[in-house]
Amino acid sequence: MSETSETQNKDIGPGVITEQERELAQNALSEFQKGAYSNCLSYLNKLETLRPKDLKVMHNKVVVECYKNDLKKTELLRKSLNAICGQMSTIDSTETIDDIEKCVMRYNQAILLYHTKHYNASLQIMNRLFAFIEPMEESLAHKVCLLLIELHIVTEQPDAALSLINYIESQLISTDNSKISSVDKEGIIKSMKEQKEPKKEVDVVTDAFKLKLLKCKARIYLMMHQLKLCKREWKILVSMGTPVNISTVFLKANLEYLRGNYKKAIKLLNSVTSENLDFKTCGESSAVLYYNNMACLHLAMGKPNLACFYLRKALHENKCALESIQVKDNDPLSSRPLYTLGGNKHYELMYSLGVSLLHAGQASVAFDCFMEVAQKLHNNPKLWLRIAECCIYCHKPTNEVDFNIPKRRKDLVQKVVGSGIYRKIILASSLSKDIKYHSEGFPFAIPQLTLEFASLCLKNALFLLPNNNEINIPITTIAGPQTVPLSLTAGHNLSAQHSTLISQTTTVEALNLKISVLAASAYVCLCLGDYVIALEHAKSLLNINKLPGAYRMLGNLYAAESLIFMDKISEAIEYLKPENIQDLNTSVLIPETQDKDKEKLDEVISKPIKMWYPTTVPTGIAVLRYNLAVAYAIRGELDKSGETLRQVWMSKSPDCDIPIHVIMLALYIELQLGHADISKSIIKQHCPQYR
Amino acid sequence: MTLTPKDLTKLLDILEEENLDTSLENLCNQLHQTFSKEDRFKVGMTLVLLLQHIDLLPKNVQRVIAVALLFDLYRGETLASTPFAPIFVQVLKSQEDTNNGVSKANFSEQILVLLECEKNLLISLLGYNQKDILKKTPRQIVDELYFISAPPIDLSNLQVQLAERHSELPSIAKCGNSVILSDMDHSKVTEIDKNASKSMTEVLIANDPPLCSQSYQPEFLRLVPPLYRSVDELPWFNVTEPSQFTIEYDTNMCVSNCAGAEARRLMGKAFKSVLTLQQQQHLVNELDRDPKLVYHIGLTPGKLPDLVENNPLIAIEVLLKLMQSSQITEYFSVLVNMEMSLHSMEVVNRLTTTVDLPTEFVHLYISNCISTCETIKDRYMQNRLVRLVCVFLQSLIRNKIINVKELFIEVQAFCIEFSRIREAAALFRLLKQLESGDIGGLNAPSTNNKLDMC
Repeated sequence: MSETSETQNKDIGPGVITEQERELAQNALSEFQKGAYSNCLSYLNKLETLRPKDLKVMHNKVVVECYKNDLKKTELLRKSLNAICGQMSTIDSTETIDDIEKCVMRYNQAILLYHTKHYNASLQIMNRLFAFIEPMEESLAHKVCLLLIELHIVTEQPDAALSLINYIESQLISTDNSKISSVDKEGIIKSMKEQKEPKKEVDVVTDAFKLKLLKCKARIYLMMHQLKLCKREWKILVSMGTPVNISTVFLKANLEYLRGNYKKAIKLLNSVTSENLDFKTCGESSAVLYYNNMACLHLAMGKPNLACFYLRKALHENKCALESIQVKDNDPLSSRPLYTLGGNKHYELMYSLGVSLLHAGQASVAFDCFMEVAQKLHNNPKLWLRIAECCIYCHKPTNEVDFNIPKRRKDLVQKVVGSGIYRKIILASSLSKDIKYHSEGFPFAIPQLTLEFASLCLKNALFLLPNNNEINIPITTIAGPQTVPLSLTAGHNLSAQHSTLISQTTTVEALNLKISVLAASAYVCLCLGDYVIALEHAKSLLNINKLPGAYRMLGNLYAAESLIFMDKISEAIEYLKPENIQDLNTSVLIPETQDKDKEKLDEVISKPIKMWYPTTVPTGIAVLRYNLAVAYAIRGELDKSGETLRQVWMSKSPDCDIPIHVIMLALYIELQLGHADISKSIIKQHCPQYR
Repeated sequence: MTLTPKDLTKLLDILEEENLDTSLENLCNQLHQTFSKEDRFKVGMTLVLLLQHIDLLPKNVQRVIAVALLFDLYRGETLASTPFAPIFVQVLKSQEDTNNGVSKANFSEQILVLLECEKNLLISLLGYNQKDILKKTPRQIVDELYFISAPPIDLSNLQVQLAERHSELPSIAKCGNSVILSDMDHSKVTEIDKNASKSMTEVLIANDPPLCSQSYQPEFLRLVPPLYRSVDELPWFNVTEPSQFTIEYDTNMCVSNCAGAEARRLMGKAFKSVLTLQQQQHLVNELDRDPKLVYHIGLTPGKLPDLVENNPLIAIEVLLKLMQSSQITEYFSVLVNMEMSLHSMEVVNRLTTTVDLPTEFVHLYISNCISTCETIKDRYMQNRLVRLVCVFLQSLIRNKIINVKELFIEVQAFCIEFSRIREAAALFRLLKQLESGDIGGLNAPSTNNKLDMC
C-alpha cells in the first residue's frame, strides 16, 4: 500500500526540485498573472521537458491553454483534465481524494461540471474536496467554500448550505480561534499565536469573503422564507459597507417581495438603470433577471396577464442573449465561454409563463408551454400537476357556474316536443358533463387537453413527490446559528452532519403539493369512472395532518361520491356530515417563528390570485347537504331526502348560494313520488317559457 | 338501440284498431314473424313507451293488443328473467295499493296508463289461463273483462325472483327517472290523429340514445379542486455571478518541498517498520514546524492501523495535529474498529488525556475492547488483554475521563466474567467503591505508568 503512495508521489512531485525548475515555475506564474498566456506556455513547455511526469505541470498547461482560448473549448478541457487525474467516480462515495496535491485539478473538474449543469456530480467532488479545506491556501479555500455553497443552493438544499456557512464562519474566519484553544492543550497554541500577526494583512481578503458569505446567507434565508433572519443579515451587510450594486438591489427587492411590499420591490427593481449585466461577459443578462422578477411581482399582485407580458419579454431577452454569443460552430461546448454554458433560462421562463397563463385562464396556451418544458424539466412533480390542471381547467373552469341559478335555469329542460295533447316536456338527463373513458381506445399518452391525459400526468406527479416520511409541520422554531457537532459518521461530508435548522418552508411546500396532487387525482378518477382509485386518493388526502378546510371538504365529497358509485351508501353518508367543514382555506400555513413583532406572514403567501369558489362556509355546507340528499334519494329514502333538500333551500341567503342541482333533485323526488303536477309547476315556475 | 321508422310502422300495423277481431295469439305470432329475436328489446321499449302515454295509443283495443304483445314478447322464457317483468309487477302492485286505500295521489308517469280492462287482462295473463286468453280476440277481451275485476293473484314468487336479480345491481343503476314528462295542453282543441301520434312516437324514439331511454339519476355535485398555489409560484432570479467560478491555476507547482519530501519519506517508512528514536524526533519536529504538513505526508485513514502498530508515538502526534480537521471522525472510526492491541490502547489512552475526545467514541472503543476480550481464543493473550483493558479502564475512571455510570453494567459484567484476573477484581472493587459513593477511591495514585509496557 505504501509503495503505491510513493509512486504516486513520484508522479506529482518527485524528489527534489531544482533551482532551475523553481525559477521556471515562478516565471510561468508571473506571466499567467499578467495575462501573457503565450509566454506562460513557453515557460511551461520548458518545464515539462525537465519534469515530464509532473501532473501539476501538465495541469497548468491545460489551464493556460484554456485561458488562451477565452475559456471556450470546454469539451477539450474536460477531456484533458480527465486524462490527467482520472475521472472522479460518482458511484463509489467512499472513495476519497487521497492526495491533497490533486485538489486544484479536482476543483477544476467540479467547476466544469457546475457550468454544464451536472450539479450532483459536481457536489460529490466538492464534498470530498472539502475535507482538505484546512491545509488549502486561503484563496483556493475561499473559492471551494463559495462553490460548495452555490451548489447546495442550486440543488435546493438550503439547510445543508446554511450549516456549511456556519461551519465556515466559525472555523475558518474567526481570528480569535477560540474553538481551537479550548480543545487543544500546550503544543498547538504556541504556533497559533505566532500566526496571529500575519492574519491582519489578509483582513481585506477575509472581509470580501465574509461579504460574499453574507450574501449567500441572505439568498438562503430568502429561499427558506425566513424573512426576519434575512433582514438581520441584510442589516449586517449594510453596516459592513457593501456597495449598492445590482446584486444587492435584487436581494433587497426579493426580500420586499416576500414580505408583500410589491410596490416597494418594483421601485427597487426600477432603480437599477446604470448597471447592466451583459450575458457575454458575466454569464447572465440583467434584462432577463429584471423582466422575470417583474413578472413574479405582478403575478403576486393578482395581475397574471401583466406577468405573461413580462415573461414574454424575458424570453425574448434570453433568446437575444444566447444569440449574442452564438457562433456558426455547431458544438456549443466549444464555441461559448465556460461561464455562459449554464445561462440559458429558457425552460424556467417557459414554466413561469405557463403558470401565469393558467392563472389568467388561458389553459390551452399554458398547456403548450408546459409541454415544451416537459422535454427538459420532466423530473419536477409540479410541472405534471400543472399540466393536469390545464386539462381539468378545460373540462370545468370554475365551480361558480353551478351556482348561478338564473343562468342555469334553462338547463333544467332539454326541449319541448309536440303541441296540444301531444305536448311533452323533455327534462335534462344530467346537469354536468360526465365523460368516462372514451371507448375509441386511442392512446391516452398523446399530449392533449383531455382528462385521460391528465390522469397519466397525475400519476407521474404522485410518483415524483418528495418522499418525506414525516411530512408534518415541525413545531420547533429556527434556532440561531449553532456550532455543528462533529459526529461519528463514516463519511466526513459536512452535508451529512445533523443540523437543527429545519427548513419549514420546504416541508410546507411539499405538503401543499401533495395535497393538490391528491385532490386533483381523486377528481380526475371520479370523472373518468375510476371509483376505487378515487376513493383511495380521497382517503389519503383526508389522512393528512392539518389539512386545510377546503380540501377537507373536497376529500369528504370525493370519498362519498366514490362510495355511492361502489354501492356503499351508508358509508358514504358518514362522509357527508356538515360538521366536517370549519373553514375554506386552500393552503397550509407556514408557522411563525416566535417573535414579538409578529409579521403577517401567512396572509401574504396564501392569498390566491383568484379566489376558489365556494367562498363561504355556508355555501360549502349547502353543497354537503345537497349531496347528502342525493345519497338518501339514491337509497330510496325520498322523505329524508326531501327534508334535507328543504333545509338546503331554506339556507339560501346573500351569504350562501345553492346549486341548480337542488331544483333538479326536487323535480326528481316529486316525480318519484308520483306528483307529476307539482313537478310541472316547479318547471313552469323556473322556466316560464314553457307555460 | 331503437326501432327505425319503418319498423315502427310495422309495429303500429299490428296494433291497428282494425285487428280487433284477430285473436291475440295470431297477433303475437305476427309480431314474432315481423321482428327477429335481436330486436325484441327495442320492440318492448317502444311498446312500453306507447303504453305510458295515452296520446300515443288512444284506443282501448290498441292498448289491449299492446299489453298482450308485451307479455308474449319473450315467449318461451321464464317470466322472471325477462326485462319487462318488473313493469307488470309494478303496475299490479300500484293497483293493489289503490285498492287497499294506500294513497298514491295522481298517477305517475312511470307506470303504464292502463285501464281496468287492460289490467284485468294482465292479471289473467299472469295467472293460469294464458292459453285461453290468448285465443280470444281483442273485442272479446274488451267485452268480457271491462267490468269484471279479476281476482288478485299471488305475485310473491315472481317478486322474490325479481328482487334477487335486482339486489345484484348497484343502487345508482336502479334509481333513474324518465325524462319525458307529459304536459297536455287542453287549451287547444286537437283531434286525436293517428299520424300525429305516429310522428310523436318517432320523435321520442329517434336518436341514440333515444329520449325514451334517457333517464335522470340524482346527481352528485362534484366540485373542481382549486389551482395549486405555491409559495414560490414563480422563481425569483437573483444574481449568481457564474463568471466568478472559473478555472484555477495551480500555484503550488514546483514549490519547494524539500522538508516535506523528507518527512514524506520517513512517514512512508513509518508505515512499514519501527523508526529509530532519532527519526521519530525528526519527524515530530517537522510536523510541529508546519501545521499543514500533516496533510501532505501521505497519511490516509486506511493506513492508520499500520502506523499505530509500528510507531504509536507518531500516530499520537499525527492525530493530535488532525484534531481540527473534518477528517478526524474517519480516523476515529478506523481506530475504534481496528484490532485491539497494546499499541492502539496506548494511542487512545494518550489521546484521552491530551484532548477532549467525543464520548461516543470512547464508549465505543471500550465496548470493542470488552467484546474482543471475550471472543479471543488464546488463553494467554486473553489474560494479557484483559489486564490491559482493566488498567486502561482504571486510568480512565480515575482521570474522570468517562462517566462510569453510563458504562456501569457493561464494565461490571466484564469484571465478573474475568474475576479470576487480579486487575479485574481490583477494577470491580473500584466500581463498587464508586457506587457506594466513596470518592476517596478516586484519589488513589494514577496507574498510568503501568501502561508503558513497551
